[in-house]
Amino acid sequence: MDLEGRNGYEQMAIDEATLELVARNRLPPTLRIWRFKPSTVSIGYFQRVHEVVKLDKARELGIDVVRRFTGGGAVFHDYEGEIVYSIAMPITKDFVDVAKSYERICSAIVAMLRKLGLNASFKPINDVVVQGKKVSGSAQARRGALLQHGTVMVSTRIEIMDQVLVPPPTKKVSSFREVVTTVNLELGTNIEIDRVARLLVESFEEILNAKTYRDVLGSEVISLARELEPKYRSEEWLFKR
Amino acid sequence: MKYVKCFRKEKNVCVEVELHNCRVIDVKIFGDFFVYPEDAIEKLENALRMCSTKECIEKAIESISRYSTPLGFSWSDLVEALASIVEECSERG
Repeated sequence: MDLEGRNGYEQMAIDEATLELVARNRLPPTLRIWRFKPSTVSIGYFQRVHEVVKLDKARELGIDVVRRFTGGGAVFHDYEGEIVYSIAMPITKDFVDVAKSYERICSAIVAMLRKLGLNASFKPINDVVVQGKKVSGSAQARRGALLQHGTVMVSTRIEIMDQVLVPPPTKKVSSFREVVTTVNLELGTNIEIDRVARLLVESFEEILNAKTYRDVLGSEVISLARELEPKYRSEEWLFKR
Repeated sequence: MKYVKCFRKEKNVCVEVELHNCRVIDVKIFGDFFVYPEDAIEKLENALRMCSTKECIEKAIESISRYSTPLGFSWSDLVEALASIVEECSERG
């Protein structure tokens, strides 16, 4: 649990290091709940940054931009209103099928939202929706083990999302508000990030039939993440495609 | 000349193809899709170089489809998008 937050370059490096070390059996299956600080736009591994992010606006607003090592779309991660989960684990029998593994892992988010009283459901391939609007998106990488990370929009400022993200041409929307929602908008109240985080851990334990214990990042993760971080900071990586 | 074609299945996929005499010089495949393992796309982009027919494109995609899985589109969708660019070039002469 790291709700204090770190910047997106560090966070991506930590996720990649975690995946690598779980794959090498140097780390047990790991669930991390964290935040981007400062607010950040992350783009999918296969995306072209200038086609999906208004870079000048992001810079003006002090929002970092980072390319993920996972596929999927561009996401605005609002420090004030969002939590992120990452789960790294071996690819056991139940998780061999990629599409089914997305659904299985996302079912923890669905369960957490239902505990809050929301009528949430999984929307293939990688989304969780409430009243037909996206409240959570996830992306997964596989390299000898799997890592899935994803966002839960608790009180994300959609007006900032509108300013920094370019909607896909196929989503003919004037505002992301038409297709995206947040936990607080749906509940009509202000729920604390800490509570969402606790419920999320509890839901992962139930869905995966596992018991978690709290720990800090190990020295091996930190050391490998430090090696990987310059890649995420580089222009070469950001403008890769 | 560079040509771009995009299509949407469950996810958005775009291909940018640079042609010389209707032969592929360079390809970039981009969008919000997933492919496992991710590096299959870079390998495919390399394998597509010098293709000038649909058969060549199919062969290149077959070479990576044996060990990789797309999510959000199918390999045949990608064949069609790439082949249409090459074939339209040939038709234009």
